[in-house]
Amino acid sequence: MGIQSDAKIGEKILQTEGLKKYFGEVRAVDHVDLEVSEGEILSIIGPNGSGKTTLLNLISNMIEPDAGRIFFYGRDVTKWPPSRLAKMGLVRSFQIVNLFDGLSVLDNMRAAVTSKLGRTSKPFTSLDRDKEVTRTSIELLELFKLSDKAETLAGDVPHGDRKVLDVALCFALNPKLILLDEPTSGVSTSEKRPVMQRIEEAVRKGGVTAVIVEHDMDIVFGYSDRIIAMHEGKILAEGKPQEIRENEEVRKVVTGGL
Amino acid sequence: MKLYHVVALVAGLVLASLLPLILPKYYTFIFAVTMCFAIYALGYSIILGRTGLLSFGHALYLGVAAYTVAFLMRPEMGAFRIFSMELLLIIAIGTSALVGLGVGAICIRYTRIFFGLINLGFVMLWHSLLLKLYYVTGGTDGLPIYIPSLFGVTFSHEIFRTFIFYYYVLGIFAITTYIMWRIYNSPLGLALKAIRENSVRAEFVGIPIGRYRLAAYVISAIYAGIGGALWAPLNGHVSPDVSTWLTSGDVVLMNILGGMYTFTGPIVGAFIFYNLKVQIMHFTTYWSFILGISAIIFVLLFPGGVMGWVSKVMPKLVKKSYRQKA
Repeated sequence: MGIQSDAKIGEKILQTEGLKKYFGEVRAVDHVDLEVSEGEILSIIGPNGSGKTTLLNLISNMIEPDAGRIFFYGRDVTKWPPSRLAKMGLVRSFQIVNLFDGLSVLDNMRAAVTSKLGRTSKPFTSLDRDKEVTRTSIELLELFKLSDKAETLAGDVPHGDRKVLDVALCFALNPKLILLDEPTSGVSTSEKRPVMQRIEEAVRKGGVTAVIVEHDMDIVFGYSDRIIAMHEGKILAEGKPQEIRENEEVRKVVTGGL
Repeated sequence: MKLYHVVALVAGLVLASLLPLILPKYYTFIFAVTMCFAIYALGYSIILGRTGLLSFGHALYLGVAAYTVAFLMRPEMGAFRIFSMELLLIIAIGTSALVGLGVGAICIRYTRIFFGLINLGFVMLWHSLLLKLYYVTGGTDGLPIYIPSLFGVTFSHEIFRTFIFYYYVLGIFAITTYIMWRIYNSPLGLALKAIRENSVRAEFVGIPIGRYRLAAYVISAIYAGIGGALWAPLNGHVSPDVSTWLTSGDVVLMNILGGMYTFTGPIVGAFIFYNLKVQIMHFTTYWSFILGISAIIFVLLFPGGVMGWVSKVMPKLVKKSYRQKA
């Protein structure tokens, strides 16, 4: 069973109730009760196969849970399709970069921005003449320092920038809660901090709540308000970065004695 | 639209308007038929080139519209017999859209080869219905199509087929092309491209992919319907041959030959494919053999289609908007 959070910072933005997903014999997520407060940056850590990504996939409804329910602002959203969740402000990025590779970086952004503005269903208006969409897209690219690559195909830009664009697309949707699945995976060590700084800046500036799954412990302890450690599909420990750092059990299982 | 677009457009329209005055009557007829197929191919490109779904069954809508026209013209219709081409077109658009909505709602639950095969299943089902319900459809003999009136005016058989209907089709072709151009450059066009590139991510940026795939499907069905409704009076007769896996495959070839990621590709592909077919049929009864070889050569020479190649070798003429997959 998961551990209930003691720290009640703000309103509960997300709650899960007995969330469960087994893949055959593997208990990927085993009755997880999770609470996320508005405005916090929560990190989920754990060894490979501990169920972190599966948990994100369940919350974002990429896969269906075997049992359990998900509440977003108190509403049961367990069966909502991802597009509807995105419209409500629950968005996610992907561990393996997930972009529109054949479209330019700008068009990637414009696809997300038109979606946010609810204009994708317009069949006869000119996209190029929609100044608001183009301006918003360019502003977002500037915020994430991608504007110099606006005309390049998303499939052709360097990996670090692809990773940032993947996260930037989430911000185009003006999210309330953002789920980030290893935002710095595959990024070179020297680039990790600058990439994470760009993301943290955007999160704090936008007052967005973030749930981050991350492998890199330096990053986790540096940017999180609260940390949850997972092991074999269950929540092992939960608390402030300092508490997690000092937790013997977590050190043994997760951080390998960091 | 850039200046060179406008120039090319005006030049194209002037040239197309002059053709019946220069060319033998036979070619006026052939080009009118070609434009019907170009509308069919252009509509198909929104589902293949934009949304990334490969259908092997779009001749269904060609047939639905052509038979709609045939039914409405039958003497058995009595007082409800319709000869007005405008009215026939509107009703044919309605039936193909309706069938497209029903069939599409089932098909778009699947993607890739499954989508293609379910569409193929529907066109085969329709084809066998046309064959077996012969007391309604005329079976293999099909049904006659009479000469419709254009804006209330009835023309003689020869004037209609070799002259006046050419302009009618040209007008509809211009309008449908313009509408498709608007769709391609609209937010919806971008959303469809996003679905083609990565449907999972599209869903996660808030695009309801199912609904949009269905919208694209219905648009393609309507275009096929317009093509079929215009083709029927030109052909003067409609038989189950219009809705087969072969005529469904033709439109795929037209898109691939012309360049499915470019706007003009499907149109150019329709012109090349149909005229090649007609020319080869003059020479030999083994036309399908020669046509097959020509198609292979075309694909090997122009892997991105003819217009895909043009947009590569003429980057100055065809500007950056085409450099990425349009």
